[in-house]
Order: sequence, then C-alpha cells, then structure tokens
Amino acid sequence: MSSPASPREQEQRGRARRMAVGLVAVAMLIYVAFIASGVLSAQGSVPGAG
Amino acid sequence: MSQAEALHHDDHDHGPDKGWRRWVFTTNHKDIGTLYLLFSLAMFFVGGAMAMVIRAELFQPGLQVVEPDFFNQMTTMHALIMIFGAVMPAFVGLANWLIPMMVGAPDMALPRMNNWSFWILPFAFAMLLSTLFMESGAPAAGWTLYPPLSLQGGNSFAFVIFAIHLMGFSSIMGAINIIVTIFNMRAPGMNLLRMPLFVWTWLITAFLLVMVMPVLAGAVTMLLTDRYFGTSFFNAAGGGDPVMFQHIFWFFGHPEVYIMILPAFGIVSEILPTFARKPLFGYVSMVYATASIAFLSFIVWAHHMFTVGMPLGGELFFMYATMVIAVPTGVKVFNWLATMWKGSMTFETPMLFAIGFVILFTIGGFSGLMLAIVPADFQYHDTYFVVAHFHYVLVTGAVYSIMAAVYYWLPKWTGNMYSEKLGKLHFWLSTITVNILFFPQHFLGLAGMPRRIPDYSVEFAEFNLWSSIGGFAFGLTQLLFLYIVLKASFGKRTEKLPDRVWEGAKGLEWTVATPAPYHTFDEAPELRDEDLAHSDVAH
Repeated sequence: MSSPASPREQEQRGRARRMAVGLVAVAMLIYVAFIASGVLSAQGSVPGAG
Repeated sequence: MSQAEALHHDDHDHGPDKGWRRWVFTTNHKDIGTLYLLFSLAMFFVGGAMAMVIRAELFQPGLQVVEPDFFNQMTTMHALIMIFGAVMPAFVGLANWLIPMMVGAPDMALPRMNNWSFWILPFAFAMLLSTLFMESGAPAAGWTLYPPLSLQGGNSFAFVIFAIHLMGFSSIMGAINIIVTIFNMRAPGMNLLRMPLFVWTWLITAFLLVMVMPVLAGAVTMLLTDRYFGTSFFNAAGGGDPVMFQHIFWFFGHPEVYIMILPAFGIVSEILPTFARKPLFGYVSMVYATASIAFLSFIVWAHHMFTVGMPLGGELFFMYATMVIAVPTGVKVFNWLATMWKGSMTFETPMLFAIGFVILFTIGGFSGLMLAIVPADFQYHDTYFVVAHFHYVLVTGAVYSIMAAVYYWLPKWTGNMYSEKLGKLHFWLSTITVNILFFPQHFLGLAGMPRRIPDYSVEFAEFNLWSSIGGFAFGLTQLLFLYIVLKASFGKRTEKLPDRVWEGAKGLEWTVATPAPYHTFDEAPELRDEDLAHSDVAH
C-alpha cells in the first residue's frame, strides 16, 4: 500500500523544480553568450554576422 | 498533472520493480547511483584497455604494435573516456548514493530527471565508441579537440560532437539535481554548516558544472559549424582565430579539472576523521578553501596555453593566479594532516587510499606549481612532464579517492564487508605500480620527450620501458579491485554488519540499516549531535 509524500516534501520538490528551471536558464544563457562572443570575435567571418 | 497523479509519483512505499524494468525505469537515488558506478567501472576498464595499447606501443622505440593514426585515436579516446565516462560518472554515482542519505532526504529532488541524466550516458558513449569502427576512425586530435587539426578528420567528427553534447546534457542535469536537492531537501536542523564535507564539495562542484559545461557545448557547437556549415570561428583563412578556441576550451577545461578533484577532497575529508577517530580539523576553513579553489579555477585558464604567445602582462597574471591556488589547497592538506595528528589511527583499506591520496596528489600539485612558472612552462609544455603531472592528480588523486570511497561505503551499500586482506593487497600493488608507471614520465618530460607520439628517440627507451611495465602491472592490479567489489556485491552474506560499519564514522548515512534499505528517510530524521560530524559548528 502506498502512502503519499508529505505536504512538506511536496512543497520542497515544488521549490526544487522552480530552482531547476532557473538553473537551466542560466546554463542556456551561458551557452548562447559564448557562441555570441565567438560571433563577435569572428566579425564578418560568419555568414550573416558582423 | 492532476493532484492524484502528483501524489502517486511522489509515493515511496513501493519496492523495486523486478528484472530489467527496475534499472531502466528506476527513479530511486540508490539504484541510479549504482548504475552510475557500474557504468563508470565499465568505462574505467575500456579506457584502461586503451592505455594498455598506448603503453604497449611505447614499450620500446620504433613502431611495432599499432599505426600512428590509431595511436593518436587511442590517446584521444582514452582521455575522453576516462574523464567523461569514468571519473565524472563515478563521482555522480557517489553523489546519488550518498547526498540524500547525508542530508536526511528521501531521494533526489527530481528523481525522473535523475533517471534521464544517467540513461543519456550509455547512448553518448555508444556513439563515441562507435567512431572506432568508422572508416575515418575515432577522433585523433587529442581530447582538447584543437582546431584546425580536429577539423581535418573524417565524418566521425559529427558523432563525437553529438556525443559531447549529450554528455554535457547529462552532466548539467545531474548537477542541477544535486544543487536543488541540497538546497531544498535537507532534514530540519541540517544547516548548511552542519553538512558533511562531501556534500559541500559536491554543491560547489555542481555550480562549476552548470557554469562550464555550456561553455564546452558552445565551443564544440562552433567547431561543428566550422566543419559543416561554412563558418570560420576558428579558421584563420576565413578571418577566425584558432587561439580563440583554446581560450574558450580552457575556460571550460580548467574548472573541469576541479570538477574532478573537489569531490575527491570531500571523500578524503570524510574518511580521514573516521580512521583517525578525531573530528575533521578546520571544517569551516575547508568549506572556504573549496569555494576559493572553485573561484580561482575561473581565472587561471590561460596557464594551459602560455606558449601561444600572449602579452607578458597576461602571462604574469595567469602565473600568479595559478600559484595562488596553492594557498587554499595547502589549507586543505594541512587540515588533513592536523586531523590525523595524534589521532588513534588504524589503517583499513579506505584509510590507506585516503592517505595515499594526500601524499601522491600533493606530488601532482607540486608539479602543477612547476608548470605554472611561465619560463619553465616553455620547456615543459607538451612534454611527458605534463602527462606525469595530470596523471598524479587524476589517478592517484581522483581515482584513488573513488577507490577509497568504494571501500568505505561498500559495506553500507551491499551489507557485505570486503576482504580487508585483498583490499590492502590492492592498495599496495596499486601504489607501487602506479609510481613505476608515472614517476619516470617526469624525467622523460624534463629530458624533452613530447607527449602524443607513438615513436621516440632511443635516449628515452629505459624510462619508457619502466613506465610500460608499471602500466601493465597497474592495469592487472585493477582486476583484483574488480574481483573484490564483485565478491562483496554478489557473494554470500556471512555476517550481519552494524548500522555504523566503522566505529569512528559520523553522519546520517551510518544511522540507517546495513545494507541501506531501498527507501530511507521517508520521514525527516531527528538530528542528534552525536550522529553528526560537524554538530558543533552551527546551531
């Protein structure tokens, strides 16, 4: 017989999910920022950039 | 998702599924930890087999075992597999097994993402290893994938890039899970400064992973577009700059080195107090030292590329910044020594590996300091001295700590005590052979032998001979490790072990039954000061 997770645990996991979404956003931002820095450095060598 | 479904997914009372479904669909942190550790063990032997090919070719001067291009594939694949397939997954496996138990949580915060993090890995490595069977062969430009060389290979390159992206996804998801678990799932009263050092070092490592894995992903994405989509990020002929790749790669690469060593610091900080029967000396300074090392790892990347010809001011900055890392690292080493000082020490296998780590990792640290000196680095760069340095850090550092951790927590995981006699034999054989393997490589490097070459001048013959003999013996010794682990895991249970397997062990994981039940801490535990290693630090 299963017992449901406690309200405390559910609340903890909810907070964890929101924090995880924020961290995914940070990771994606870093990825895009480094490619953007590559584009800026290459200045004109990338089709459509510079 | 409805409330009823949400409740169902967060249930804990069910046991494991039967057969293969248990392992494929598991969301249990212990199962996933086991999967990571088994995967890492398999990759350890695959990468080790490649090392044997390398040492066989270098056994004597001349070309006798493999073609030069295949030799280059071996050095590249050995590194990629050992870093991303063996060392990192081993630490993530340990984190999965231990962090929820250490902080008093029922599981990781995001169990289904945890399953996904692991199951991406076998596909990534199947893809990477499949390149060995392709017409153009596996990547052969070194694990750093420097262009323009890396762009001149065959079409297996696309597979390598995709595999690296997958490994990155896996690492980032694993790291995010660890961060949100530590911040949100701790038992009441488990303040940050009461957490075990292993949890602290992993928390900081996880932040490093989230910050630098996207940088690697960005770098290899640009390589991919240079190769297949007509861009010239790193192509000088098209207005790009190959040195820029080196900057971006090492902005990832140096923190990556600490990703592979900070959890090792945490493990050693758990084991030494247990067998010295004393609390860890300088707990808070250990936390600050770990954070300092992590911060400094972001401002030293160019010490890997002093020879590209950067301004003198830049060289001086990166040299001094690198040397500063010796300060927090020294704090750690002296704290470990102070922990052991006047302790009631015993020398079980985990303790032997932990002490071996402190001594041999420090040798790797010292040779790192030598490499930080700009004018000296011009001599050492791309020689076997560098190979000796990073193998002392990664084999007698990271791998030794993983072995120490396996011996230390194996009884808690399996309910079986490993053979202490065989464990000690494994330690001594490993320690003798690993030094025969790597110590002569310092001399080879100082004498000018370049790395990543299948043939060499006869003046280097003798040290290479010794190094290869040490390598074969070290490789064989690890079969003993495999036997010990398998015997303890699947052998008949001969005695009932106590919850606190080691008399001096502290921490919540030692308050649960041995072997650890499938579900632990369904209800948050009440923390008792005598169970915690650092109960005196913060209340």
